[in-house]
Amino acid sequence: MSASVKAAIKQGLFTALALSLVTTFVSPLFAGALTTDVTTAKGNETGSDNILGGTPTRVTWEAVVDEGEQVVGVDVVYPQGSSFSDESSIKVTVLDGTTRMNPENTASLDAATTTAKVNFSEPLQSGLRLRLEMYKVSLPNVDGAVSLNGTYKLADGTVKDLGASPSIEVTYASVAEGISNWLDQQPFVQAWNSVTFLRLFFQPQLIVSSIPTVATGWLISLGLVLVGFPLAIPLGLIAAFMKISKARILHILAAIYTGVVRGTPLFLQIYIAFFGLPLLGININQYVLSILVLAFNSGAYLCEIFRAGIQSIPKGQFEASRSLGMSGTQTMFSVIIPQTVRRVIPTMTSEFILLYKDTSLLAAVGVMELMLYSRSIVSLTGNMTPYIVAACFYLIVTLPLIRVVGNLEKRLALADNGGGAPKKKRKGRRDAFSQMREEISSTTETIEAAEQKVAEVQVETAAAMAGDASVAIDTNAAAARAQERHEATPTDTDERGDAS
Amino acid sequence: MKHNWSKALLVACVSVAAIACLALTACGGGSSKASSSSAASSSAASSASATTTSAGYKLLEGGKLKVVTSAEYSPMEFMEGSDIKGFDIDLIKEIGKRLGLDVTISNQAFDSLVTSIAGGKQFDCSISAITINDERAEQVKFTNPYYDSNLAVVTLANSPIANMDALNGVPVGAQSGSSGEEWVKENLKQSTYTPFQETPDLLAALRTGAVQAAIYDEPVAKNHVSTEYTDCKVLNVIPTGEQYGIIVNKDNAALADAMNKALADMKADGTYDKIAAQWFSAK
Amino acid sequence: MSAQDSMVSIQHLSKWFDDVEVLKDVNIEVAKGEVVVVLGPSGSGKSTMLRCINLLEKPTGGHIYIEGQEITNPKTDINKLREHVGMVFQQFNLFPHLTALKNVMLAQRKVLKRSKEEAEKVARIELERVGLLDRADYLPAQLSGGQQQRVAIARALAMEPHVMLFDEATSALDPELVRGVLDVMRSLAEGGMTMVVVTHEMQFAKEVADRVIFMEGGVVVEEGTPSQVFDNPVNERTKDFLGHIK
Repeated sequence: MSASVKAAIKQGLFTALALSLVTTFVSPLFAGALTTDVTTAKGNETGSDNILGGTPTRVTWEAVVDEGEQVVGVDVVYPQGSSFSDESSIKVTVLDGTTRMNPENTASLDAATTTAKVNFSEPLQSGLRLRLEMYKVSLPNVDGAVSLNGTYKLADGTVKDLGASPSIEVTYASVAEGISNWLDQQPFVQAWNSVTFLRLFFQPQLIVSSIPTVATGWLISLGLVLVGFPLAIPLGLIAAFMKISKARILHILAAIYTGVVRGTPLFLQIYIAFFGLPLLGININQYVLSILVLAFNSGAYLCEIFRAGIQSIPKGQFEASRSLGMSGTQTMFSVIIPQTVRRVIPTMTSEFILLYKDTSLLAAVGVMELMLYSRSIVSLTGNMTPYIVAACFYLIVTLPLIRVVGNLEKRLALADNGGGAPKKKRKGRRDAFSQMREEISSTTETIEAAEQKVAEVQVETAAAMAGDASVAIDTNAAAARAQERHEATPTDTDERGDAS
Repeated sequence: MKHNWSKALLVACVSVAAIACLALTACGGGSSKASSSSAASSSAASSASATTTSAGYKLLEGGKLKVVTSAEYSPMEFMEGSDIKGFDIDLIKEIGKRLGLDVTISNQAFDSLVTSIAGGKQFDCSISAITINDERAEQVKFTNPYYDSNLAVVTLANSPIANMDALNGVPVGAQSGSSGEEWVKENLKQSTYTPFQETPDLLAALRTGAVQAAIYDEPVAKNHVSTEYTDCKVLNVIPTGEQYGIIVNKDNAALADAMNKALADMKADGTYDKIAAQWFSAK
Repeated sequence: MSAQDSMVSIQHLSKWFDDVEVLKDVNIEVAKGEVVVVLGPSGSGKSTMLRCINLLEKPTGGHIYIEGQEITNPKTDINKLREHVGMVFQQFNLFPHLTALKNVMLAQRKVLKRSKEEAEKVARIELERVGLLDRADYLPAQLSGGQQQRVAIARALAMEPHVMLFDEATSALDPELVRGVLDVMRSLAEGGMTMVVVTHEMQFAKEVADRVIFMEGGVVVEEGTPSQVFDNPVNERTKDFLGHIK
């Protein structure tokens, strides 16, 4: 910096300060002649704010014309290692306070010297803000801070150095970014992308470059549901006990809970929790709140699953237990619950899958999860491809689980068949499935069989059937399962002589 | 290696074609003209199925200008009951009138507007306080700027944040896909940033304290704090000098040209100022 | 016989299901050590009567005494009472998630509060008694129906009941499996256990019963020694029923 500039700094300090307060919000770091107060670059790593060196980005540079000076031209010089390409461009904005001016100018990017040049036909008066946006320019591929400098020209022909600009933190390009850049150059990728639909939904570069970001969101979503779901289990169990309890008040409370939660969209519950609770003075970390909302919601569904599960245990199990002198509580915990658990695992797994997918609703209130991470790239790139990547991340969890549910249901179906006094003709089948049964280690039966059981127990008192056969389960899931089972083993209900 | 690639490509093509078929069938219900192209259609093929007017531009449906907006940005565009109103809406209706077209307005999330227009199958154009920038210009074609704007920082009226220096480090929010979002990411590196799909959610979060400042467009912010959000204030206006433009599909530059002419005419004959005066009384 | 002397005393028992009267003024006395077999067609109320004895069904009217204690009195501790009344069901009702051994141990542990070692010792003795010690670690689903029923009997016996109730214990079994169960019951009877047995096994009734009761339409229509009831039935309906059976 020359002596004259230093003098100018001292001279203009106070006036510039006063002026800046009126015209701009940015505190003047120092009042050089043409004060560069903003130098930023747009994050160019997909889904993060990192600025990668050697990768095209958009650089924004702002400066304010100092008191007593009239600027006719500016040369902003990029540091060694920067590069411009044919696609690079520059946009000039001049502001008087917050009002946009449109002075005549010529702006260009000189690739050889990596310099952005702007010249004005009419000099810029002091106090005006000059803003340059330079698109698709690459900063040096280094790990550290870089800054722009250069010169400016006054109306009287004097050329002065620009003061040091705020620096930009640059990092090395990641592997994914590297692959993405390589894909950019490939002819088959370009051909692929020439089809609008493929470009907007299946762009190869974005598939690669969005994976690290979307994976972060995936871990968060998975974390939310892995903590939230176990919390929902005791909640659902308690509510289920309340619901089948004879105490009317407990039953009513549980019915209100499940009714309200199952009767309103989770979306709405999330809104109420996130915007309502803070207004009541309850401030909870948003991830903790997410987990609580998910658990609260899922608890209501699990309540119905558990209730249906408990009520699908044959009445004979209660009777056998009670006839041995065991109390209601002992019966529940030693006999009924252990059998219920095995029976509800498939439905619970389905509920887990639903809850996992429902974490996406948290995006609406700004919880950074899988959906919002992918959306952040979508909104940045105007391209739907990250959503497709997100879909894959949902599927890598849900597809295996869906398989597990299918297998569990099959096993339960087999176990149901092996439960009773086998008829001779079924011996072969028994052996074939005996290993299966050992793994399950429990005899279970379908809901309709449970109803039938009640009927059988009371076969001598035909009139009782109408009253007591009401072990009927009304949960859709249970009914659907029963239906499935029925189709799978259509002839079994009548010939089954189960030990139930 | 080559074999593997071609095999993978084949598989991908088949699956993509299947999805495309589904998508086309799904979209085809609304418009009989727009859905006749083949499954593996490029944007060129798709526009071929649209009608080309005597003025040289293409429309998805003859005589109609299908507009999409994100109507939660008063006074630019907002819902009043089931009607969509606002400065942008009056402007595009006037443009439609001058082009002799029936204007239909649809509502959609802001961060999907550019993609919708780039896809070119559902709407002819979008007007929604969309800031012109080169990234967007790669996907869609902008008209000439029709409105100058800045960004504003909105905080609660009693916020302890005294100035812009105090902003870097506090939790802030902006609308997903907006120029405010970009400004935050570039300039407030110390702050936790939360994106919101809709500005009402952003402001709700501001009121609950989830974010302590909201950064979005100046005209909307000023309107907010003087109407429904009197408990909030504009802490500062960030002079970005950004400009709004209407976006159309890249293959339909003629439509942008026609709109530019209508816009110029409106500015010349005072219609533009009349509409602006109606919505920006303060300005 | 007074209520005090008998093991089970049923007096004027009536039971309604909604508006159907399934038991009408039933009076039965069972002496200590006595084996009473209850016969009758389906729907005669014999199972309901049996289930009333340990209150699996709640009587609508009348009184039931076990060892002189009135169980129909609301003040009676029903769980305590059930400890001494073993019951065997038509459907076995073993706990499917527990092995045979654990089935027999569970109530000992929970109700009698026996130590694990003691409960296991008793369980093994009882399983041996029913001839299934070698199946101790099998799950119910791995046992035949007859074996399951024998485990169920062992489970009841482990509680050291004063009276055993059998509710059609062999009706759900394949014919070739019935015998093993009946043998166990027979040996129990010979050991002096008080038993009330609802069954269709005429041969068993003839050979083992001290007394046979014939029920129909919710009433006791005939009662007497096996030879009285089988060889010289007085009641027309008894004759009819026995005729059908034979």
